[in-house]
Amino acid sequence: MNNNPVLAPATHDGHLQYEDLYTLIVSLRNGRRTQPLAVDMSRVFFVYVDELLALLCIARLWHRWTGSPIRLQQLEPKVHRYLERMDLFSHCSDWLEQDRLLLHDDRFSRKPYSERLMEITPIPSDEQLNEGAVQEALQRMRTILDNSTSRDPNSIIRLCTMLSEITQNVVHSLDQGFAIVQRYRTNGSALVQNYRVVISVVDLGIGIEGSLRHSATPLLLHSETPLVSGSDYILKALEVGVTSRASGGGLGLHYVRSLVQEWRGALTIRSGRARVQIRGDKITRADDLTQMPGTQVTIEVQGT
Amino acid sequence: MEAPNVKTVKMTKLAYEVSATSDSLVTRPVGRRFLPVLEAILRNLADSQACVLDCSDVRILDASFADEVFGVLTVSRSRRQQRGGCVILDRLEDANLDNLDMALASRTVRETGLRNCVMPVRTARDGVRLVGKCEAHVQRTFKLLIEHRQLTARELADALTLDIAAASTRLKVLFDLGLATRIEERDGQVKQFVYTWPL
Repeated sequence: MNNNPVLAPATHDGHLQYEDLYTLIVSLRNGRRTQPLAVDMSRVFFVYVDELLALLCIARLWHRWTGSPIRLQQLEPKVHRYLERMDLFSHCSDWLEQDRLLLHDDRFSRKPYSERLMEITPIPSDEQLNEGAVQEALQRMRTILDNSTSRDPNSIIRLCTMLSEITQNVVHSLDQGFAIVQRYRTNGSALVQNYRVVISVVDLGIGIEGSLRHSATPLLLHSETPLVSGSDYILKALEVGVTSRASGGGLGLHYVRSLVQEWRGALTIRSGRARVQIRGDKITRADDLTQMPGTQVTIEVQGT
Repeated sequence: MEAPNVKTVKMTKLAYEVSATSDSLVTRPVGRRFLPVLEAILRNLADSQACVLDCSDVRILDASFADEVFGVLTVSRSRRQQRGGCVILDRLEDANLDNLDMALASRTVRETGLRNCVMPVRTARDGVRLVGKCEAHVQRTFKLLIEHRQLTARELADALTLDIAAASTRLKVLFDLGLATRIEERDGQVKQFVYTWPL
């Protein structure tokens, strides 16, 4: 049995290439391991929020398939501190190990309600529990946005609404979800500090195609344009009213899309073998990715 | 001083009964709990009365909540399943109004045969307007009502060159949709309704 560590692929500037890591791990699945799967993270120097959640998903899936965890090795100190700060290890204790623990002094300090980020936050699919989690996530979001330079109430409302809607969508996934928010400072003047807010929500549930088949209106079933690929389903889910019966639902992704396009931000949705990215008016589709259960939604908007 | 035909209620005060955070009106479950609280107030309104929902303390009102409350309410009126008085939303932030607008407008896409799904709102910037989607004649009749403050079928018929039956129907549609109040007047043997905008 080969227990050599797997080298986590990274871009030339040190970002984790999680799609490639996932493909690699899927290929190892058939040679099942009973010991933790070691992943060498020495080439990774920066982990973005969606990459962080993807890492969580990969670990969770590996554990689902094999019953054993992934062990991250050779973590670059800053990356290690960041993963610890975002509570990756505390939420993934069954699925993810670290080859060494951070000393207390090495950790980032943290406030109970950070002004810059919301750590990995579980989002239940049970509707009642989901409500509480959504409210809590919104409180955190408001703290982050209230402390940005811009306090335009309407911008805050819109960003909070986006988070509210996509975290509520976890109910339809029939699986536990996780959410992260982070505000990054970008270049700006001394007077006006620009920032970028990234919201990412992920689950390993039935995915967009499964969700549409489960809850679609006749409009979808009798669509003039047949839905063939995964990206077809994703784009369909972004239309208003598709996922609703008379009882309602299906507004979230449509709302997010409208707002992201209006603000010229970016929306990325990964589900099944597909990924759709919308940046302004440009839509990029991919349908040849490694099959992954569930859905990941990442929103990126700029603010001042 | 509140006009006798207007009942003003703070939205956050109603929400306090159903949500842990009364200024953050989000999620479908909260909306589903909120609607019966609102309906209880509306059931006690006379035809001549309106309920103003003061939303000045509402920080966030997401589309899901708006859909479960105002989407359901306006659909039931549009389909004449329920009649329950004029409701006006007051002092909602623009972004929250957009959420409400999306929720209401999307109902006409989602529900077969639904042509009107609207609510009147009042803002400091735009005054009174309709949010959601409605037929052109509803918009036109509502606009005239706002301008004149009160209308009879005869007055509307003259203004739009309609026959009186058509004018009467248009005003009744406004009333059924919760966009107007009305009082019944008798002039000897003749009975007529006077439709009013209560603010």
